[in-house]
Amino acid sequence: MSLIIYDSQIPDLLVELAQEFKLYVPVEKDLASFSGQYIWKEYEKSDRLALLYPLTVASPKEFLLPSKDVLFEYDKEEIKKTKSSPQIIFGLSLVDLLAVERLGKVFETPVTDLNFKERRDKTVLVAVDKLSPPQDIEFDVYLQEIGDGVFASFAGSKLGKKIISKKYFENHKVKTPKIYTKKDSYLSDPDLSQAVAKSKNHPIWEELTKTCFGCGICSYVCPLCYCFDTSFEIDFCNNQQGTECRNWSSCLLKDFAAVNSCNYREELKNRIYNWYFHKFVRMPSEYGFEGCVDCNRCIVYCPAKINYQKVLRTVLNDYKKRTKK
Amino acid sequence: MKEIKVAIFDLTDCEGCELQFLALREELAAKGKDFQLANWRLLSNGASTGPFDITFIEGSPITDDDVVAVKKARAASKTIVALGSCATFGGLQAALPESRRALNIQKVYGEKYKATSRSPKNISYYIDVDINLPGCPIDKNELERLLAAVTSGKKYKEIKYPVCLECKARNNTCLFLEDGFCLGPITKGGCGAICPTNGLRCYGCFGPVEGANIEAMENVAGKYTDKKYLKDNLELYFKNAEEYKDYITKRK
Repeated sequence: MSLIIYDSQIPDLLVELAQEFKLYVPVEKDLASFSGQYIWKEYEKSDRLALLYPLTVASPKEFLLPSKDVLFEYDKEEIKKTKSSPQIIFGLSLVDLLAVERLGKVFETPVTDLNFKERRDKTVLVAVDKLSPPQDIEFDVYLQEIGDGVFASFAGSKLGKKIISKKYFENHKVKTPKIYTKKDSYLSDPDLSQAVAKSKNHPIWEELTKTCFGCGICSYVCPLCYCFDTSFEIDFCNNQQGTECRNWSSCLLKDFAAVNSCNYREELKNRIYNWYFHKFVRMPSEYGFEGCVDCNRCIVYCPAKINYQKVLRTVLNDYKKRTKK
Repeated sequence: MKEIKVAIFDLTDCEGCELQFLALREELAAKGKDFQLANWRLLSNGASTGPFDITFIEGSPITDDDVVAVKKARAASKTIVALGSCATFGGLQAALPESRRALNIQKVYGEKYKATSRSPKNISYYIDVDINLPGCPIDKNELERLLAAVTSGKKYKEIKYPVCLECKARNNTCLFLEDGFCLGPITKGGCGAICPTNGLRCYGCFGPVEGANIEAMENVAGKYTDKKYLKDNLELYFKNAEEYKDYITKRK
């Protein structure tokens, strides 16, 4: 026996959930010129859901690390911490769920980031995917599509249990198929990290500067690019008041590593290398996983059509050739 | 709190940037006497000759009188802000090639006419400018941020990320990928990606972002767009910007 929900029941479920939470769902962007593209938006009853979306422009990072995150407000000497409201992200793919899990690890290692934690603790994750629910990733509810518009439902938390005990879920005699994907071969290549680490002088970084704008789109859309910039925003009407914000940034921007009169990565080729180095060398050694879940957003939205997989493959192959000799 | 004396001057422009001050009328009203608009042509009362704490100059100087006015303003002001892209880069009127300008003058005024105007330049061509606030027009929120910084004695932090950051934060897909051309990746942000959000590609009106890779723009956009079209579009706002001039010198 297993609990299932039909897609016809999902809108009613969402209406109920939206009464208690801020509810975000994937939908197709409606502007004519943007057709076939998906975004996250706050749920309204008229929305046509795009569950099992191919890819959303912004990653679920925007709910945990918004582009402008107000850390605190101040009024003279008094500091007011900002509070976030409970939210549900409904419809995460397994890949995006994994990204949220990793982002959580990053923000609690070695010390817990309280602003991030506050928001994460108030976030309910509902994943929808064709693959079987993962064993080692946190979620509240997991819906696995087992037939056209039929979802087997799993709870991963107390709140998740409460959600799937609602009347929209039915008991049925179905066997849920076990489907797991193989990990992409080169991302799990044991030499990858070492190959990137030893490739600072590879000609590919210089080569990439011919087309890479250094605009940082790959970072903004990446669910695991979390490096930020802070800004102190003074209120114009009352100079005694203001906010401290944490804003999106990218290590590809020239200003990113500029400190006083020194810029540690003045040249674009060094900034490009750093992007790869952080994701595939530093993060594996600090956290035990790459800063990449293979969601493909950076490939799809790069205006210069740079494909990081091809770059990694080149670096990896050349490293293997070098070390064989 | 000490009151701050402000002047707003305009030269060759469309007045669109100074109108953004009116968009901030509630905020300015809340500031009250602390923020004194001591000289603004669009206000009927008072035309102080200075000294001013902050002077905003919109537009580009094109007559000898303009140049004198700009120099006088510099002498009378602690801080000079070049307001908008005309003041920062010379603006759209500077985009016209000089040979075309001479031809146009002949065509309109006749062959015997001797032009008294200079070709439009950015204000920093004539005087030292403390802050450049580009935009065509400038963005209201950026103006407020600048005013907040100068009135509280803090340094105004220029924006150093491209339009793409704000564009992606607004959940837009990429117009560069759809149309094969958009200046967003090399243009300074601060506009809130207003054009791409409404389906229009970026024309680069905020000028080049720090570290703009113009070579990459030529290489990548050049694959899909006509070379002349690309050059004309780059020079629409970038022509007098340092980053662009450096790039042209390096390329030669």
